[in-house]
Amino acid sequence: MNLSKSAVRRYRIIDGMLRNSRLKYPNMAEIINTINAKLDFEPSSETIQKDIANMRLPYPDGFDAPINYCFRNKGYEYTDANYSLSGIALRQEDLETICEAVDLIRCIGGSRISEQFNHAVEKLLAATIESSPLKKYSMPVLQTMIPPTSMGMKHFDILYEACKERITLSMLYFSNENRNFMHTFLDAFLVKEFNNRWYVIGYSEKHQAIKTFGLDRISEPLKIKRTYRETSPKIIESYLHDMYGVHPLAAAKKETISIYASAQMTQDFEAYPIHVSQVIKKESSGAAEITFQLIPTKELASYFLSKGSQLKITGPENFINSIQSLV
Amino acid sequence: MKKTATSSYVVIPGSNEQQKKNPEILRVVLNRDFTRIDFGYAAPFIYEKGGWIRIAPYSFIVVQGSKQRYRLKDTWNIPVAPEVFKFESIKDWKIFSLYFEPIPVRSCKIDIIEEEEPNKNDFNYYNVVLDDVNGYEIMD
Repeated sequence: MNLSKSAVRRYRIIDGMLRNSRLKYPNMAEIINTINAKLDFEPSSETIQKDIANMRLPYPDGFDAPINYCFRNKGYEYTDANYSLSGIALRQEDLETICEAVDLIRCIGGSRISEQFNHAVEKLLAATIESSPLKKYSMPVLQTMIPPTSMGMKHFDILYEACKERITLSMLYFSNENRNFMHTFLDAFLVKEFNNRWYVIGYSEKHQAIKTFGLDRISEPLKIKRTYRETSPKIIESYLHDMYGVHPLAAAKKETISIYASAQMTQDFEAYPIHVSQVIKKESSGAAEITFQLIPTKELASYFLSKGSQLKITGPENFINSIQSLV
Repeated sequence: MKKTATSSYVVIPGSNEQQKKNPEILRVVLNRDFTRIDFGYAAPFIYEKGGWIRIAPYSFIVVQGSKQRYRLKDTWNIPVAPEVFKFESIKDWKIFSLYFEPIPVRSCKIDIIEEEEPNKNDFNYYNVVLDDVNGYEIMD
């Protein structure tokens, strides 16, 4: 059955009417009026009868819709109350919840979420909410900082797929620090955002080590048919949970990092903890010794240094030495 | 894995001083339809704003041992002369690709010629080694 777009849209409207528990048993005139109002097109009763017949056809020609004409109530009904054209029976509250969730995801994800996600959301909206009045535009009441799309985001989908499907990438990269180009085969395992910057992390054949690459400096990744080099789950876990940032310092391992923070700074850490392992031991002055169980990273060092005299790193010794060499 | 006539392969040119110049040859893609060469170019500090780049439309590849010229078919991210791309600073960089007529998919040495009588601004590369040409097949 060749379903024209307008036919599918009519089916969805009919489906929505048959599932509406507040206005049960819609009759032919009501269906025609509703379609006219929503699609700005008045179908004939023959068209609607054909639509209903098509919806009743068994899958895959139709939708197996259990539509019955109820002579007592003079209208159409689903004989199976749980039936929905999309396969999921959604009530009005469900639709509202989905709309709120999608708004929230869009708000948080903004331009950073992948094209695929956008398409999936569009499909979800088209399949379930198309005929809903909730589709109307409204001003958001929740907003997070959403930067404009950054360089390298066009590769997001391929990098994500490479991590998910365990595919080796042939990748070109420019190092801002060394001002040189390189090619590497990358067995990526994680795409990670930190401070509005996106990175891909994986085993780089060129470096013979796990490396972090900024998406903004990656060019033309190509998926390669070859055996993917697996990274130990323990290492992946450490990148997921034990780092503030994405660039671990050389030979760094998870350890207790301690700082001494001023009263003002301590209030900041209380309000905005930087890691789940953060423990604050406050003094009567309000200043505190704060500890973290983390792998030292460049980003952690930069964060501490940015606080100037409000904060002093008290341990471990190797982290203090590393920071001094970074300054 | 099964190789097909339509397969594309990534080749990383062997280490060679020629390739390390600016622009640097980073990768070669070989298949039945074209030969693509990916370059990286870091704007040099000798020009106040990093200078400019372009490629001559008559650029070609020669496979050593053959006289056949494989002509430039298309480009990505670099204009074809007389147009130029002007950098804005000495910190700018650019990755670009040149698409040539397809050379045979086999180990060989190639020359990439922009000008047969080049000056210092022209992109000429000699003895670019392409080995292990079937080693890394690109997924569809």
